[in-house]
Amino acid sequence: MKRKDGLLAQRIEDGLIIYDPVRDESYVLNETAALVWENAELREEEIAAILAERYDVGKDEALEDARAFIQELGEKGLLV
Amino acid sequence: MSEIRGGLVTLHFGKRVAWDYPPELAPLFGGFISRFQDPGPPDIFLAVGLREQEDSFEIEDRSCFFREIPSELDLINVLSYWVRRMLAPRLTDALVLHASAVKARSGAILMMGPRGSGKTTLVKALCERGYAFIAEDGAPVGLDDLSVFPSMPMSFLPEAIAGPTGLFRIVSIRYAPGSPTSLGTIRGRAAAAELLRENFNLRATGKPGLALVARLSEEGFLSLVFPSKNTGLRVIQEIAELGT
Repeated sequence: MKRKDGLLAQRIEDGLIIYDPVRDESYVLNETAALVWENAELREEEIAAILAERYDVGKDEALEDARAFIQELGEKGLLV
Repeated sequence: MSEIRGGLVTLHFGKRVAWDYPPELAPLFGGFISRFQDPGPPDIFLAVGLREQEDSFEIEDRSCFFREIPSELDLINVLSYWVRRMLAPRLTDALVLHASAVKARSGAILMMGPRGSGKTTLVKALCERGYAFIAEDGAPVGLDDLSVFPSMPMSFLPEAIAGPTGLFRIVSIRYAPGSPTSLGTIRGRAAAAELLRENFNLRATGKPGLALVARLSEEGFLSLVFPSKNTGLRVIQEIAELGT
């Protein structure tokens, strides 16, 4: 997966805001979703490793979270 | 309308609008609307006319027609709505928030919220108590200096009208009959979500507008739930006077 082209993104203290100027839609991501989106071009296992380190959780749990967020971000059209 | 000359020039959303109108409407343009007069070269030309068909305004033609001479308030209402439709989506140097605004001692207080949240009720009541009017339903916040620019009202004719005013407070308001009054602070993601929902022109401002959303959401703003006009008015006045 990779981030959809043309999106505008801006970090805020507890997450990330994304604006899609073509669809005129905006999204507010929490910190975990933001990490997944920002590292979307990595492999799932690599994203999971980032989450595991950041949140001090096991690899399996982190991988499950990474996959769930990737799916959710894909459904929202933020990843392609 | 083939030729727009532009007579009176007024300031709305930080842009100068040159109005062209027939002699029959001159007394109306010489009245309340002229209080928004601003010298300088116009940014946009708009024409207002009379014709026998029904009232209408044409965004692309930049022309607006009335079937008969309207009342001053009807004219203001239509033109204000029209100007917002014309200008807000084109503004690149200010983020237009779905908010009413008045000028307090420390600067502009924006009362932001969706339709029915009490924006008009509160701004009207505040203006009746001596606050200078800035905006009723769309308040543009300058991307660089956070100035809030005045624009015509929609539903009443306030006595005092402020010029561009520095932003002092944003208050997210919700009129909720039967609810207890509550005043809190909202910041971060929750604030960002509200700002993203309650603006008219993020598409035009692009990245700088998004940066302003981030800045305002990190600074945070007040969130007021009020059960009655008097309660909301009292709290907003306290915020205006005490800065709390």
